[in-house]
Amino acid sequence: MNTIQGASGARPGSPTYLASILLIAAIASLALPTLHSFATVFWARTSDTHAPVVLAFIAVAFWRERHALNWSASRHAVKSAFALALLGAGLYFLGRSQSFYQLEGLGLVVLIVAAILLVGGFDGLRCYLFPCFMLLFVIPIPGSVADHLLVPLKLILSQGITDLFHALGYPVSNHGVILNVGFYQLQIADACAGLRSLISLSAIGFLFIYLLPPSRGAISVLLLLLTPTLALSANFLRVALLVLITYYFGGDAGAASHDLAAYCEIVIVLIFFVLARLLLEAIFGLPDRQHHG
Amino acid sequence: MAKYVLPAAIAFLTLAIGTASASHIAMRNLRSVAVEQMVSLSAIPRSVGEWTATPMLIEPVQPSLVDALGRPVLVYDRIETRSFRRDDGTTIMLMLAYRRAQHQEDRVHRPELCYIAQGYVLGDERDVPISANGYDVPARSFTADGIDRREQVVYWIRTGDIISNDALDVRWEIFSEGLKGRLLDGLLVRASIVRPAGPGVPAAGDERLIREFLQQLLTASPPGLVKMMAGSGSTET
Repeated sequence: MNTIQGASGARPGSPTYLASILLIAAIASLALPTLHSFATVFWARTSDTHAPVVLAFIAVAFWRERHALNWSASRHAVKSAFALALLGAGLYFLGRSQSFYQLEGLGLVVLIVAAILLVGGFDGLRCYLFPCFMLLFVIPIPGSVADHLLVPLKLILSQGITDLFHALGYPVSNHGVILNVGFYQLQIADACAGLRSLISLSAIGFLFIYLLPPSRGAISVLLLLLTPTLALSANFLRVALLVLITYYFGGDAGAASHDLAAYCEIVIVLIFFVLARLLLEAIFGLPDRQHHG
Repeated sequence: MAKYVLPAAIAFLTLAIGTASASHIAMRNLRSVAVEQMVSLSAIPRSVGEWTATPMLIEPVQPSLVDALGRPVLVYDRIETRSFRRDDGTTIMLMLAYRRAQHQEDRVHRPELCYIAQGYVLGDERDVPISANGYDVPARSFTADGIDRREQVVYWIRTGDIISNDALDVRWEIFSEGLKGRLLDGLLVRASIVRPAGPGVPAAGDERLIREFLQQLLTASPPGLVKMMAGSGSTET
């Protein structure tokens, strides 16, 4: 009975229409300051261009499930929603007032879950569990944690790149995380050996499976297992691309194409993904359902 | 069924706007507390034990972190560098990097990261506690191999009134003091000896030399600078 009166189907002026707008305003008043902090403190600084792309994918997932937001919550669901909202508001307040971004982000996710519970009830929330879970991947990991994990990753990456190009006869050498390419120097910065981008790229992989599910569960599992590997390979290719650009077109071109390379990486991951999936579907897939579904 | 719709939405909106405003006000109301005036940093004595100040001859590794395009991502409010020389020619570089506002993300950074980011390969990382002038300082030591030099580094970071090498401790101190409305300051104390790169470099004793130098510095400095370096005295480690 409720699917007809979904949030999108409500007529302008109806109570549900008005209430939906109020809720969107409520979430926006909390989310916009948080996004601004995330962008200035993390994404802009580490040239992390992936997180906004993950957000875009999540937005698509949110939009796709909108039928579940039909203002059909039970009394119990409404009570639970407000209890959750209070918890989320507390976390958000502690996090934001103390510039503790992870706490703030967690609080915001809890508040979004509360809003969905309020509108869609427990059935609605079930449809949104995965997209909400994916929101956690947008919360930046703390710098001190990232640094601990990043340093060995960066060293492995720069050594691997050096070995590869050296074997191919290019004048590439490295000292720690500094690559010498001909006359130029490249630094394997945080963004390049992206632990952050690894998380974002994995999230994009998960969302890709979620939005376009393969014909069999086993293929999904295989793809999920492949995701971090694909993300790492894309990372490697991205740095290799930067080395080649720097070698042939100079250091300025390398620097200029840095952010571009980050976007290329996302495209590379998606291409990898589509190819891996086509391959798995060809081997294990169910041809019938692939055609009709 | 739709009876709850508008009241619920209005209640949620009120909660959201209340939370957003309260967070904003609490964030604005943080009071900056410094253990000492920033100017006390320049009161580094001209002679420390057998060491005498000399002009800086070597470019020190910068404490700031830069991103892939070389833009600074961490800014200090004041940086003091000095060079000290002993009769046998051994030179110690001292750097004090001060940041007034210590936040969870934007705070004084461990020097290991600056060295690694600038192409150094680190080794022999360990704790080297320093006791002097009533302070017990849990200092850290490491070696950094660069393209043309090998550097022995000893450092510690003061955050408010604590000196700790545990990021969680530091985060908790910033957070719990922040809940009381206090925004802490922080200082990196870093001393190092630079030797030319290459095999057979006698560097084994450098770490001890630097520790002794820092001990003497804690004793020989004016009270303001001592407080700046080691806190008000109640050091928790």
